[in-house]
This record gives sequence, structure tokens and C-alpha cells, in this order.
Amino acid sequence: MIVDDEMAVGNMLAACCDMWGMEGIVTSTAIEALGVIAETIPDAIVTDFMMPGMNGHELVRAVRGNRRFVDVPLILMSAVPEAAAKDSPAADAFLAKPLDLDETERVLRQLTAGERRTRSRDRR
Amino acid sequence: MEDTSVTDRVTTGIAGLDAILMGGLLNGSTVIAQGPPGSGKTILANQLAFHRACQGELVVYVTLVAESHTRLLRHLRTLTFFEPSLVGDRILYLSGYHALSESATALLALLQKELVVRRPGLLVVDGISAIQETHGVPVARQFLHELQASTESANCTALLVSATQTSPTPEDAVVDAAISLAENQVGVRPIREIQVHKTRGSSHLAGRHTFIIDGRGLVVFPRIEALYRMPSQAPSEGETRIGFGRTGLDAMVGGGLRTGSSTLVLGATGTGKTLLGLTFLAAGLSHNETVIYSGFYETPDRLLASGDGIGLRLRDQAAAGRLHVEWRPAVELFIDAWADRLLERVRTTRPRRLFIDGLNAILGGATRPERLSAFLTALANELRAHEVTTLISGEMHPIIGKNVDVPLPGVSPIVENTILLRYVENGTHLSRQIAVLKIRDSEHDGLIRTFSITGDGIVVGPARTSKPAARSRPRRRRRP
Repeated sequence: MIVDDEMAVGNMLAACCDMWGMEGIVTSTAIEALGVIAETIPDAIVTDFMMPGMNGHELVRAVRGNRRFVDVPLILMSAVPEAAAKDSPAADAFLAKPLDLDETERVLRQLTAGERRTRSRDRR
Repeated sequence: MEDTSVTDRVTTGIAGLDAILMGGLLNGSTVIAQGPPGSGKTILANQLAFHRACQGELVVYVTLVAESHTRLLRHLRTLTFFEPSLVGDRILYLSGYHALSESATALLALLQKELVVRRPGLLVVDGISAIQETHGVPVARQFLHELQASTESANCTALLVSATQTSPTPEDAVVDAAISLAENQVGVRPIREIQVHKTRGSSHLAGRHTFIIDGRGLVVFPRIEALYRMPSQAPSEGETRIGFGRTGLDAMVGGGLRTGSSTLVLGATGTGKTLLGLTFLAAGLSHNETVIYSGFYETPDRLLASGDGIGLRLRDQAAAGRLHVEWRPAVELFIDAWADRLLERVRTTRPRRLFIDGLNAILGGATRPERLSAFLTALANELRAHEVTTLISGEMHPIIGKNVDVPLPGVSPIVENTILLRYVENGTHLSRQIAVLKIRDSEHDGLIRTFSITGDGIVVGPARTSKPAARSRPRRRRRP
């Protein structure tokens, strides 16, 4: 799940997810995202910080406050890391914009089950 | 300047723009900033946003343009007004691009929700022309009417940023104030200009004003003649006379120049204009006055060395802070920026004497020469209001000759006094001559005298003739 009011950024990230063998669903608001995840629990949520209505911090808190989503990895992204990091809720990772795609893929793989499965396979 | 109430105004944080707006934007008004791409609209909007955020207001900045916030913020980081701690806390960057692609109504709903929920003091909508481009003029006009009603009821000042270059636009009819930015080519030189077209319920300094964009963002320089259409305080008619501290010179100007007066020192290159000006400043320093040298050609070191050469010993005075040397190379000069800095220095140091060296650099820096006479008049009046006695050097051509070619036609009426320096051929060598062409409202020595520049300063010799030189028409005088 990708949440960004700048749809161009969200769509770009979804296209990258497709290349990485993941499916990216994009919404432009946090409210819309909460509606989607109520139906389908995503493997991870990547959310922008500054958005109309509910911002990224508020979305993270809302997701963390729901026991259904307690295991869903949350990744916060922002063009102003100083601002996003301030009063930061318990996100699992932070990505600075402009996104470093290698870093983004690495973080996503690390935090999703696919990455965990890969690690288990490597250990075997 | 006109006295306009500054009650209920919001400052922009751009001093020159606030001066043009007579104190700032009206609180709760809707303002449009228009201009072609690259003209500085977005920097202006962000400068305003950070300034208002620094004042404690919440700012909602909504973009309708394709440029990403990441790119926008990366550019803003290079500017001194950018304060990252304000972003996300006092300034929220939101994208309305997606909502606009749905409908203008969806965008309006997004903005209204932000106004109601967050209660910002300033709403910036960057790329407002996209509404017209996407949904047409009637929809854009309706959108603006409804947005204005919303911002009014929320007591929120709105800045609409538009790339529309045609006029009139749907926005023009609705907004309370319109600001346009443009980059014009004057010869090979690009000149940025800002103009306030209308301000409902308020006045403003009309016409185009120069601005630059540097690390501070927009720096606006109101036209001096508009800003000081009337001097900031009543000019004093000086009765006191102040001289050059050189007996022969002072006798020629009737004992000294009236305080607050302006004197044009005309002469060909090398005739001693700068040294005469430095002599004038040194005389003030000997009376513990504060003085300013404002020049365009000689570096401070070279200038002080020139003073050393005629025994003026200016270095100690400069080190002590009584001689202020303002050096601005005559390259890409903006005359309003130069005058603004000079007047600021006058306000802070309160000098008695000023030497502007020289007039030709100002003429060369004037991108619109038709302004010069009004510019110099306003500057001279403002300096007089601060009781500054000013010398201005002006270079004449040719180097040797009888003709008096004033660099700027019409400058003579602006100055009270005119002194002429020139070379004359004297057998196999050149000698220098000095004459006072004009001392307003005062008797003066009308004789042409020789003078020399020595290690002990300027020494004026005896008159070349017993016949007095014509005062008002010196060109007609024949050489003996």
C-alpha cells in the first residue's frame, strides 16, 4: 500500500514494486488508505508525511492503534526528513525523498514476508 | 511616501515589496502573483510562507503543478529563509493535483476542508492557472468566487500563484491585489521587474520596480523616485557652510558649501575629481564628522592610498569607523539597489558629508535612462532631508578642451553647485584649472584658477586673469 497525495510519486513507486515482484496499490489520502486496508491487509504500508486531511504521522498512529494491523510494517517517507522525524510515531523505517530506489527495495524486502522467507531460505 | 494605515496588514518578509504594498498585504485578502515560468513566483510564495510561519501562523501550501514537492523543497533548501523545522509543523505542502484532475469541485472541497480543520493564516495555491487550463474559464471563475468566500469566512489570506501570461485572466476580476513578475531584456542584460497592478482598499507604489533573486530569495528595490516622491522628512535649508579645509578652495565657493546641498564636480579623467572629493571628506573628518565615500571604480585600498599620496591620512579614520568606504564595482549595477544601500548607510551612520564618485557609473547602471533625472532628484532631496552635504563627481569628455559637457542633460538643475576641473595646454605641458560655475543663492569667486596636486594636498593658485569668468554661461568665455 502506497499513500501519497502526489500521485506521480505513488504511481512511480507502484511501478517499481511491480518490477520487484510486488503489487503496489496507490491512494492519494490517508482516509482512502484506511478504507482499503480495512478490506485487504497489505504486506507493508509506505506513506508520505504531508498530505491533505490526515497526515502520515496520523496514519501511522491510526494503523498502530488497530490490533488487526499490528504486524503490518510501516514506512514513512518525506522530502523534509528533519520535519518528519520530529515527533515521529513508531514507523519501522524512514525513506527520504527523492527516493533511492535501491534503498527502497532493500527496506521493502527486509520488512516484508518475502524478505523474511528469503532470509530463512538462505539460512537453510 | 503616502501615509497609509498599516492596520491589519500582513508583512511579506520582503522589505522592498512591503514598501511597495505600503506595509504588506491586507489581512484576509486574496492576492494573485503572476508571471512566466522562471520569473520567481514560487520563490516569492515560499518566502511569504516561511515569513508568515516564523510569525506563528499556520501556512497551507497547495500545489496544482506537476513539479514534485521533493524537487520544490530541494530548491528551497538553498535559500536562507528555508527553515526545515517549520515544514510539516507550521507549513504544510499538499498536492491538489490529483483532486484537480477529478474536478474543480474536488479541489475546492480539499481546500475548504483544510481551511476549516487546520485554520491556516495563509493559504497558497501554486499553479492556479491549471484550473482554467483543465476545466475552462467559467469553471475557474466559479472556483475562485467560492474559494474567496471560503478564505474570507476563515479570515485567511490567500496567495494564488499563476503562470498565466495573458491578461485579463479570470483571476484578475476576483482578487484584491495583483502582483506581476517579469524578466525583461534591456540590451544584453536581463532585468527582473515586479509590479503591483491593483490593491483594493489600499494604495501602493505604482509602476515597475527592480528585483533580484539571490540566496535570500527575492530582494526588491522600489524605484527611489517612487519611494521618496516626498522626502522622508522635511529638508532643512542649511545656513551653515562647510568647506574643503583648503583656503584657496573655500574662498572660491564663498567660504564653503551650504550644508545639505549637492555639488557636481565635473572634469575629465585625471583632473583630480576624486582627490577633491577626498579633500572635502577629510575636512569633515578633521572636525570629527562622520563621512561616506561611495565609489564605483577605485578599490578601498587604492582609494586610501590616493589619499595618502596627498597627505590626507584617511586609513586611521576608516579604521576608526568615521570614514565609511562603500565600494560597488560598476558592473551589473542596479541603481535602486545601490541607492537603497547608500540611504540605509546614511540612516545608520548619520554622516555630515558624502562623496559619490561618480555619476557616470550611475548613468551606466540605469537600465531605463528616462528615469535618471527623477531618480537623482529624489536621491538628492532625501540626502538633503538627512542634512548630508554631497559631492558628486562626473566625468567629461574630451580630456582637453573648452566645452563643458554635462554627462546627463538636466542634471544641473538638481544640484545647487557646480565645480569644473579641466586640463589646459600650457606650452609643452598640461596644467589643471578649477572654476566654480554655480553656487546657488550665494556669492562666489567666478575666476578660473590653476591648481596643483601636491604631497600636501590640493593647492589653488592665483587667477589666470583679472577679468571675472562669466558665471552663468562659462562656455562663452574666451581663453586669454
